Amino acid sequence: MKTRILTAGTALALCLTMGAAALPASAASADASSTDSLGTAFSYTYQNDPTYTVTIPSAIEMDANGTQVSIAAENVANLDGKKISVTIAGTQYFRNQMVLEGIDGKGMKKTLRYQIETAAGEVIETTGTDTATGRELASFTENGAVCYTVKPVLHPTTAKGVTYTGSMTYGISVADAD
Amino acid sequence: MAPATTKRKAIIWGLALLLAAALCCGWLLLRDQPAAGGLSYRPEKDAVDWNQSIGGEAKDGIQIPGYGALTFPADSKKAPLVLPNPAENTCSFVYKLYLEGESVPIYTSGAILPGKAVTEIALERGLPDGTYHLTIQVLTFDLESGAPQNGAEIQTVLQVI
Repeated sequence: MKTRILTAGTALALCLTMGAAALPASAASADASSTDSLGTAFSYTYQNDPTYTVTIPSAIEMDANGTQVSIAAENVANLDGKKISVTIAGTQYFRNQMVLEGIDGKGMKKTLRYQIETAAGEVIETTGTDTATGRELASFTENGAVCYTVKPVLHPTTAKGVTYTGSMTYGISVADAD
Repeated sequence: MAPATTKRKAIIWGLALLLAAALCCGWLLLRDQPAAGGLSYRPEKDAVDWNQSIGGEAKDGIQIPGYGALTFPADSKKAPLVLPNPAENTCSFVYKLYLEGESVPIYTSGAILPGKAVTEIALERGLPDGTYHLTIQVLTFDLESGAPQNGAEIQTVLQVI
């Protein structure tokens, strides 16, 4: 009986001693670890950025014999077999007709049709009931520029001394390559 | 009707018209005047300086940024999208975003001057998960006169996740 009590007491004393010895170490570990930085912080902000650039003419300006303008594309890459297509998406005139507008000396509205001749020799124009919307002006599979000619459609009855102005909206998209 | 009463009514009407005219003039003078960017667009208040190049060299014409597929967070009215006006341009930009089949834009910017950009947009409504066809319309305006110039519509795919 005495032996058992002695053995139990010794075991308890050992346990207590080991626990007491461990505590300072744990505390020391805790203290040490509480002031250390753990790992490296990473951050990333996901943005939807532009990936290419298309430069379009700023205004429709032309002389009687036609004016050459260009459309350019840059940063054209990673298209996976596709192309950047630039089309006529619309104009400022009713029903997207290719028509410029002006005011004569008497305050009367005047109009002037114009046409586009593409690099391939195709003539694009509207005559009142049709539309040029969707017609392709240029396409790019790499950086470059495409030129085309803009020309007024003049008649003997075209009002003179009038400044005709207008604007065009260009459609830009990544499309299947031909 | 007694002449005095008629005269009094005339005076009252005259004063009322004068007051209305004064209020109208005051409103016209004191309202915020639209700055460059067309006559109906005010400067974009959230535009920040943007000096990144998107590859365009200084040349005649308007540099229009093009986009590949975009990603917006689902059901959120805020979306990360960089809408710049390259510094080389000599016109202001107004951006409008349209979903296919809708005539009302889900976003309209104010006038963005050259060298500025919007980097986060506030949508009219959050969008549920899905794939959308998105049109990014770019309206351009002469910096001095506000006259509209040639613009563009960029077609792209929008993933909302």
